[in-house]
Amino acid sequence: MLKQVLLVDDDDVTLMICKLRLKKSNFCEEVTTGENGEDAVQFIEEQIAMPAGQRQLPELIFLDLNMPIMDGWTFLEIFESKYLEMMPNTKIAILSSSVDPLDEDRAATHPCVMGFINKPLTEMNLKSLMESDLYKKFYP
Amino acid sequence: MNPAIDIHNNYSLPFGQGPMMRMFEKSVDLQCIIGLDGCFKLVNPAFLKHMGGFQSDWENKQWINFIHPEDVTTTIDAERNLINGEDHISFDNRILFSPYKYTWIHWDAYVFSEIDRIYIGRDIEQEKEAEINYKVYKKIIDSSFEGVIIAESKTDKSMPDIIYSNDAFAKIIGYSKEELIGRQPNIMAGAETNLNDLIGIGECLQKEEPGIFELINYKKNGDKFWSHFSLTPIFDEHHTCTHWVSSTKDISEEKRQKNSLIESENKFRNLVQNSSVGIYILMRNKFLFVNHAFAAIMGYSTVEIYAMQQDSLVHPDDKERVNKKIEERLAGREQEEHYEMRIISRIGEIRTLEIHGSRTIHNGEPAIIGTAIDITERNISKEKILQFSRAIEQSEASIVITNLEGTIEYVNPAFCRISGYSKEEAIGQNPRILKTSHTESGTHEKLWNYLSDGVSWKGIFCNQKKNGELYWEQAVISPVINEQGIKTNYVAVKEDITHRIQLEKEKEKLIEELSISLNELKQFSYITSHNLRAPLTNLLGIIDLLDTSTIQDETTLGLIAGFKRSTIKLNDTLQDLIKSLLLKDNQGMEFSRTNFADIFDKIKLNLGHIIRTHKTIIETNFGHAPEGMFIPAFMESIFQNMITNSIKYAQPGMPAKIEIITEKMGNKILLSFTDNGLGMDLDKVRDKLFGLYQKFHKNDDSKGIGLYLVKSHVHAMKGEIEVFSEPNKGTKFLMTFEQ
Repeated sequence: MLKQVLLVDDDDVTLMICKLRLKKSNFCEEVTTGENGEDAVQFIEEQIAMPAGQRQLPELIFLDLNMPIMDGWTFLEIFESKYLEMMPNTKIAILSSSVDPLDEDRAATHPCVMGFINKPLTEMNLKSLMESDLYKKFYP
Repeated sequence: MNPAIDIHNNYSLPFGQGPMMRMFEKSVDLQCIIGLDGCFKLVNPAFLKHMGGFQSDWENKQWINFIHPEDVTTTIDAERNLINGEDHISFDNRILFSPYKYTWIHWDAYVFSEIDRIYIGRDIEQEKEAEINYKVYKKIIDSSFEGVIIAESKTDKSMPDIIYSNDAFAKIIGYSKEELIGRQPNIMAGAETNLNDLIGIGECLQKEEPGIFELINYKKNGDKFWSHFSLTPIFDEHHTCTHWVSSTKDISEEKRQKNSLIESENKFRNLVQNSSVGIYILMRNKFLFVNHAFAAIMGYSTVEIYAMQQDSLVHPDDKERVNKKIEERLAGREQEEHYEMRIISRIGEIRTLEIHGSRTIHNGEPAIIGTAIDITERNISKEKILQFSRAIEQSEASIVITNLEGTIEYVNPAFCRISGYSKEEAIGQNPRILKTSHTESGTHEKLWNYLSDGVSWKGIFCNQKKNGELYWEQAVISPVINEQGIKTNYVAVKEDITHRIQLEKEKEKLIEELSISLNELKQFSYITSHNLRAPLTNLLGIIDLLDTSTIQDETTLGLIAGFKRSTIKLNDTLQDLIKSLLLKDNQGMEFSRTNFADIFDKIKLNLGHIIRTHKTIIETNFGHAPEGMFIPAFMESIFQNMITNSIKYAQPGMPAKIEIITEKMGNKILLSFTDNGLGMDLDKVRDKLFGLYQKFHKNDDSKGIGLYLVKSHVHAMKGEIEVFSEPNKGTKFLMTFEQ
């Protein structure tokens, strides 16, 4: 099981549903949520500020794209330029209701993005993730 | 009568009757004794015989009266010497011996006694005449235009030496007369002198025969000239050749004229023979002469034509007219004729000739000499040109012909109608009278670049009519090249496309407006679908999480189930709408080499979960056509839709079995999906099968967009789709793609 997952979405209903889904599928131990990119940056900063032993850096970030204050794209850029080096094992899964076909292509250009999931986050999505080469070691 | 009888009558002889007297009487010389008084005292018989008359006719007559008036002075002067003491004098004078005739006498006079002198005379009339003749002849020869030389023979009969040359000869040969004397005539011979002629001259000299020669001689300065000369031997009374006379003419000019005459005659003969114009001489209905060209026009040989009657060549309809014309000229009523006529050639072709004939005289008889030009082709081309010019005149397109400077030489009526300029106004102008600034800049430069390269130019002008109205013209302007490959003119063919341009402009405007609307609409759909999707996904999430096991109330359970179904349906519909929106948006996607196995693997991975849960069996065979040029995303969509359709519409209780096969047929690729599912009654559904939102099954998740997408994709990849199906047996979709 993954330890820490960061969920970034501006819709609180979505956040609630996703949280429940993750819990029900036994995907991770702890879920942290943020309402936009800035929240996510702030959370990462907080964790980095802690002593190494107490840090709870997310192993996976579910990231929405269209959000107020700081959208997903901006966060991706900041993450890649600022934190990727420090958190090489952290992957990002785009979780979007976007219907713009260019979004998926654009997301694929970011190396830290490991998937593009169309909302809602389903049991099947999580199952695929858990069975993937990247994460299956966490789910014996 | 004895003239001596009367001598003694009244004159006493100074020398008595002795031998002197006999000498006086018997002498053949004319002798007379003249006294100091100047009168004849006695004349001898020879005198009388020569001069006529009797002793008495002369006795005591003043002899001065018998002397020619012109000679009187000479005679008196001579006699004065005798009186002054000379005992002998000689002189010549003319004596009257008949009432009108004088004769030249040479006199020797001696003092015979104190009172008498004896005059002994000799008739020198002939000598005097010869002397005069000599002078005349010499004058003639001296002033002759022909060159004359006289040469003295040699005893060995070799080349004689020149002893005389006249001015003309000296002039011909360029030596002075003095230089020529003592030289031999062969100084004139030179390199090009014909040796045979020289030998001929030698023979002439040897045989002492006259001869005439024509040969090349050389002047003193080395110039050649053609010499025509005669050689004449002069013999003395003993038949000995003493002199040679030669008369020479420089005939270089004659030779040259003769040669050039021969040359020019040959030239004319060649010209006539080889002229491309037919030339003939006609006499009494027969041809006296025809040249090659004339024979060629007729198709006969010249010999055959000479054997023919003139009118047997003439077209029957023209015979009467032509014969009349020939008659008129032969009769001298017409000198010249110029007309067209038709002939029938040997192979039966009718050819039209243009005839120029004039009257001439041949061997004293009237004849016709004329030329014949075959104008059959010319007439045909004339007709063709006429046809072309009519086509140009009546063309709806405006046509302008300019010279190389761009000056208008011709415009057709369409030009006048369109531009408003009359023919007279346009000709002589430059087409720039139509020019406006509305034509795309650089057009005219480009046009001239093309034309100066000898290439046609095609383009559009915005021109101005005479009344200032603007109009659009599509023009093709080409150089006109003659047979020698030289540019002679430019021709412009122009079409008024103002109406078309206006339509196009309206169309462009419309398209622009439409694109804006379309973009707005697209934007609207994205926003709508996104905004709809966000809450919808939440609903889907909630359904996913809803645990109905804790709910007891049947009604609630029913409501929840209804909520669930409606939500899923709403989501599917929205998804499909988005997909179809995306499809329309992606018309420009690119073809690339696409491998069927790769596509299938990708889709199998996507659908792995469904395939496993439905225990679907998929068999593929891409061996015959492993790949082709396709739009990969579309091909993926086709595979996805076909496979999910087959899974969806499998026969209940029986896992779907799908067979996917590719084949090659010519340059086409066939792709088929065959299943063993529910199938359809095509007679009922065929028309609607591929329509949007058409449904044929009552399955819950059927929404009727899949086949619409498939068909759209197939068409986008230049393909066709066919369907074969039977209810409860299965369905086969066959797609054929052009490659």
